[in-house]
Amino acid sequence: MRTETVEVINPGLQTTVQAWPGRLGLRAFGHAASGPMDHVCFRAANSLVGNAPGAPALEVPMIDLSVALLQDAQVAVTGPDDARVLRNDVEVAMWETIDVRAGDILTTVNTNGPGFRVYLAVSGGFDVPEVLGSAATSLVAGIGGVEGRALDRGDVLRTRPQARIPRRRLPESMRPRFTTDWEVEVIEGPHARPDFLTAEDWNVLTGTTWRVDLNSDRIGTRLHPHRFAWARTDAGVWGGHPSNLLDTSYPAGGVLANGDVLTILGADSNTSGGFAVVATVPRCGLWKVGQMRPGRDRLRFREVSYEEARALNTRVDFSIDPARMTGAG
Amino acid sequence: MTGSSILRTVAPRDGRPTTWIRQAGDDQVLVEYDDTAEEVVSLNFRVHALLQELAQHPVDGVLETSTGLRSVMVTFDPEVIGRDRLMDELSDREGAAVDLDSLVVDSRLLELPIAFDDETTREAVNRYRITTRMDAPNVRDRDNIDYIVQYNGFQDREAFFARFLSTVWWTASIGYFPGLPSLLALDPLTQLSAPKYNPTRMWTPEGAVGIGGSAIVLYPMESPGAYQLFGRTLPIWRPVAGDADVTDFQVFRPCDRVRFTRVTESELRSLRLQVFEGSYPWRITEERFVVADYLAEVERTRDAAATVAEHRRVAAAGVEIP
Repeated sequence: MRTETVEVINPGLQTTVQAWPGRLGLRAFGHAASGPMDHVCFRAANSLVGNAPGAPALEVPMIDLSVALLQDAQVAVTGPDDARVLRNDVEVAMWETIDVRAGDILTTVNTNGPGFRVYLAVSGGFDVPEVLGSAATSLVAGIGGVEGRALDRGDVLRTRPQARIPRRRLPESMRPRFTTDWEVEVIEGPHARPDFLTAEDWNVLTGTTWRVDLNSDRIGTRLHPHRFAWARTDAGVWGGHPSNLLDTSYPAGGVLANGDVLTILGADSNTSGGFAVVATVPRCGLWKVGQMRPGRDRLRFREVSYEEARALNTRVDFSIDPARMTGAG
Repeated sequence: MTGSSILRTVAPRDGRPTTWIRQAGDDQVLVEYDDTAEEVVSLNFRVHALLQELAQHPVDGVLETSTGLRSVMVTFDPEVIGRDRLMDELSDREGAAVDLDSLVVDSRLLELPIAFDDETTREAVNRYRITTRMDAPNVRDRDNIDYIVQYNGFQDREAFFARFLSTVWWTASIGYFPGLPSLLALDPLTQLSAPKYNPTRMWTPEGAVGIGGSAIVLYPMESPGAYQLFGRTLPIWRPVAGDADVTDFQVFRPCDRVRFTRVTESELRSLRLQVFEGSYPWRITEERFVVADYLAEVERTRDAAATVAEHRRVAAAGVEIP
């Protein structure tokens, strides 16, 4: 049995149903994975209501979301420290299981503090059809989630049945740290030293404080322009700029040199193209990109090795392991 | 720190180009062929030879592969296979991949209509001119077809259109957006090329046909784009509800070949309508493609192709890059 659980009253700016790890295995057909921009908050929200960490839940960028509960349920909201969640206009805690009743109104209130996206999970997970193996919304392809689009006023979301769980809480010490000046791990390549970037370019890449452009979204996080020296001149008939190359498949989390504009490829990014990807953000750093506020935040890249990235991935996974969530008050 | 993006270099041998394995994050590596060694169509056949070998002798822990024009991105599960071991396996597979003269691939032949210089793509070019870059050398004449004609040294538009129609096009990769094919000419005498927009065009209509570098693309959906536009074809993508296979969404599959037939704009409109209504009789033939035939053609036309290349080089040298 599936039940109508949530009705959207105010959809916010671009609230989407997402699922993690998204639509895998179709890069050869041009599909990026989609899924949450911040997989850490997303997975934590699901675990706090007893869902599988990747179950369909809501991603809410900055602008407030308001929903009505049509059934009793358990919900959890995760995200930036200064964001707040109201149940019938009374503030309730983030990062823990909240028991809600039919008729309750839940509202997320974002502030101007650090961070950009809030995640809302409901017990059972949203029951939306899987398209090409995932419920994640791709706004580019217009598939997944609710009719392949952002939520609208009046949308009614169903959830799958699930037994209530004892309330859980993620201790403050385990939660991700939010800031406006981020440090993001990167692994060099595939197209950096020695044949694309010079050693000095690489030092600039990792030594510069980059500003996040206002024109950033789920497709890409764009940084302020910079002209690298480059270890090459051009790509012949394939392009006049040294960042151009024979079209190549892009890695998830790639840092693309789009001419003179670095772009961190997002969940809905292009899967291939004719520009050099000079570095790649590993899973342990990718959630931070999802929490950068366009037009305000700054970031530095910290080079890590493949082995370090793997160790840091494990640490991030450990921090939101449901086994370490404590009973809530 | 390695101080390098390149994890492995496999030296050229037995006529094969240098192969690099580059690091691409925490669960991917990129296998890439040296593009100075060979022309791009042959490099792309090497990509498909490697994929064929990987399909016949899978590597445990490899989750997916996706192709660029001269590279393969390999996604793996580090819990199942260590990266060093993966690179050993990939090097082995590359070494065992068949030579191009023995490569035979399953390849469908598609026929698609094209209307050149149609109203919709002209609108996209004009919008770019008005909203993005008035003085771009490629859009000065309110379309960018004359620019392609000049850059390739053709007498006139008709000569360009004829050359475009004369070849069968090879689907070298699918990507950028879902279902978007990048096509390369299988006729060695069709050496079209064009620089890309700078900056990128904000709007491209669905169905638009464009050229950038030596690749032709068909835009499956309204999107930004950087290729010079010269015509429009059928819709090649449709969102399908429910439990469907990826090939229900999109017309193109890897290794497809396509031949274009010229139609008028009003004919195209009615054909597009048939696609939207579901009554269009898609013309698709399942075939096997023998790469040796292509190589023989390259050999046979070597001198003529060199002449075309030189003519084009001279023409391009006199044209301003956007």
